[in-house]
Amino acid sequence: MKITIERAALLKALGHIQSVVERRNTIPILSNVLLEASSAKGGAGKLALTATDMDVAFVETVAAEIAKPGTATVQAHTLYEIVRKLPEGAQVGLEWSAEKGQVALRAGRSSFGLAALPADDFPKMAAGELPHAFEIGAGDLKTLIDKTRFAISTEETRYYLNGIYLHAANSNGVKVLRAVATDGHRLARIEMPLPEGAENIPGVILPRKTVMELRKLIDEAQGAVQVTLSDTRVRFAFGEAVLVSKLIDGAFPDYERVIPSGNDKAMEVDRRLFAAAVDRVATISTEKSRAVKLALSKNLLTLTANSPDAGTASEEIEIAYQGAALEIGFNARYLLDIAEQLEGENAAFKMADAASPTILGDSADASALYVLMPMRV
Amino acid sequence: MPAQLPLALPHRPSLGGSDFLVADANRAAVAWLDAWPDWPSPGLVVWGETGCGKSHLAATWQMRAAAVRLAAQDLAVASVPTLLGAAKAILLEDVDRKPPEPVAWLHLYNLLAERGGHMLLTARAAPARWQIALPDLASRLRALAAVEIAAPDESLVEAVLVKHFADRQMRVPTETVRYIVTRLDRSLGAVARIAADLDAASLAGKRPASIPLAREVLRDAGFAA
Repeated sequence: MKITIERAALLKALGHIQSVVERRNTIPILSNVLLEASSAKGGAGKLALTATDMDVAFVETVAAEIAKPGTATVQAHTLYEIVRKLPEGAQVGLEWSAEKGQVALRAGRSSFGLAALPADDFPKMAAGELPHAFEIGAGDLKTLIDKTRFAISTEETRYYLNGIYLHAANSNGVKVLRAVATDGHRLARIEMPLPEGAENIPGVILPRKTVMELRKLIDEAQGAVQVTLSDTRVRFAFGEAVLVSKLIDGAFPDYERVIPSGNDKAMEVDRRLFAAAVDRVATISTEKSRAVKLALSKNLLTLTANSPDAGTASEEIEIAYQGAALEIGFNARYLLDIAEQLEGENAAFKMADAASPTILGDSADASALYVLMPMRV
Repeated sequence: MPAQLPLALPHRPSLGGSDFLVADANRAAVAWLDAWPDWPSPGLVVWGETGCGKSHLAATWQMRAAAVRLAAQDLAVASVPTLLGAAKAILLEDVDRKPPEPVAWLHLYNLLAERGGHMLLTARAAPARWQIALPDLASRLRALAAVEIAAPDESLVEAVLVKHFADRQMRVPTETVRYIVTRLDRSLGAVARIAADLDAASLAGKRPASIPLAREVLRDAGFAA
C-alpha cells in the first residue's frame, strides 16, 4: 500500500474512527484502524478506514491518491494525534513496508514509522443478512436520539436498559416509529410517522455507545440515513460513512404498563420559569438526593427544598391548576432534564398522587412524552 | 432521607416446561403431572407453600393438556357449561385461598367426571384442611390424588434464585447469589421475594446487585444478614 491523502479529509475520518476505538484493549489489533486503499479502473482512488470494538464497527471512505493499492493497520489514536498536529493543508503519504513491519507516514519534513499489524488479523464484523430497510431524515434521527438519550440507564445490572428501544407502534390508529429509554426512575418516549419499510421491523435496543457514535455522525450528515436491520444487528449508512452495530440481546420491558392513563391532576406551567425556579430552589437540597417538593394548590405552585446542612428554600409560581391540593417530591435533576427536552411555552404535568408516576409533556406537542417517578420526601 | 421511587417495570417470567427445575422437593409432583391423562381420579391437587413452583408446573401442564384456566370468581352454576365448553382439562389455581362458589364447583366436577376429563387444582394447604361448606364437594375433593411440593434444598434454592434473576434480566455476580442463598429460608416464596426486592432496590438506588446491597435487602426483609 502506498497512498497520498489530504490532511483535512484524513483527519475528519480519523476523528470519527477514533471514538469507536477503546483506549484500553486486551486484543492489540482492536486499538488499530484498518486502512484499505483501492482504485477503481482508471478512476479515482479511495481509502477505507475501519475501526471496531467487536460490538460496533465503523467504516468511512475518503478520496486518496493511490500509488499502490493494499492494506495495513496502525494504532488509531496515534495516527489521529499525528495527523491532528500536522499543519493545515499538508499532504500525507502512507506506505506499508512488509520487511520493517511498519507504515511510514510522511508529511512535509516530518516522518514517522508506525508499528503495524497484519490486516488479515483485523476482525471483520459481519452484519449478516439485514432483512429490514428504511430511510430516515438525519434531523428526525437526531430528534429521536436527543429526546431520549438522557434517560438511558448507565447501571450495568440491567443491560436491557442500557440503550434506546426503537420499534414500530400504533399510536391511536397512526403507525409510528418510537424511541423509548428508561433508567427505572424516568422514561422518555418519542414518536414520529413510521418511515416506509419500517412496518415490520423487530423491536431493537440500540446500545448506548452506538447511540453516542451515531449522534456524532448525524451533525455532519445531510439528507437521509439508510437504516437496515435484523434482530441482532443494525446498520446506519450516511453517504461515505457506515456504522454497523450489535443490538442489545435482551427484552425491553413492556413500558406501556408504567405509563399511567388515569392521572387526573393536570397542571400547566411556563416551562422556562419552572426550570429556573427548580434550579434555584435545588441549590439548597443535598447533593446526593437533589429533592425538591412541589406543593400545588389552586393556580399556585410552591417549590421547597431543605437540607440539614444548607438550610431551606422556597419559591412560588403561578400555574394553571384546578385539582385538589397535592404535595409531591421529585429529583430536581430529573425535572430539569425533562424541561430541557420540551420545546413549547408550557410544560404539562399530569399527576395522580405522591407515590405514583407523573406524566410530563409539551402542551403543544403530543409526540414526546415523559414519565417521572416521584421521590418520597 | 428522601428516597427515589422506581418505576414498576414489568418482567416476563419464563414458564416453559424446560425452564422448570426438577429436584427432590418437586419430583413427585412432576411425575404426577407427566402421567396425565392416566390419573386415577378426575383431578389432581398440587399443594405447597407460596412460590414452591405450583403455578409454573400448572402452566406447563396447561400448555400440554390444552387445559382451560378458570378463575374462581367467574364460576357460577349457570356459567359452568359455557366456561367449560368442550374442554376436557381444567386448571383452577389457589383454591384454598380463593375457593369457587361450592355448588358451581361441584357442578364443574360432575360435568368433567361424566366426560372423563380432569381438573388440576393448586393450593397452599392439603385438601383435608380446606374449608369447604358443601359436604358432597368436600368428600369428592378429599378423594382426589394430592401431591405435595416440599420445601426445597439449598441447591434448588440457588437454581431458582438464578432463574428469577434471569427472568428479570439482571446481571448478578455469583458471590451475591451465594451470599443470599446461605442466609435465606428454604422457601421458594422467600426466593421470589428477595429477587424482587433486590431488583427494586438496585433500580431505585441505581446500584449494582452487590453483596452490600444484598445485605441491606435481606435485613429489610427480616433475614439475618
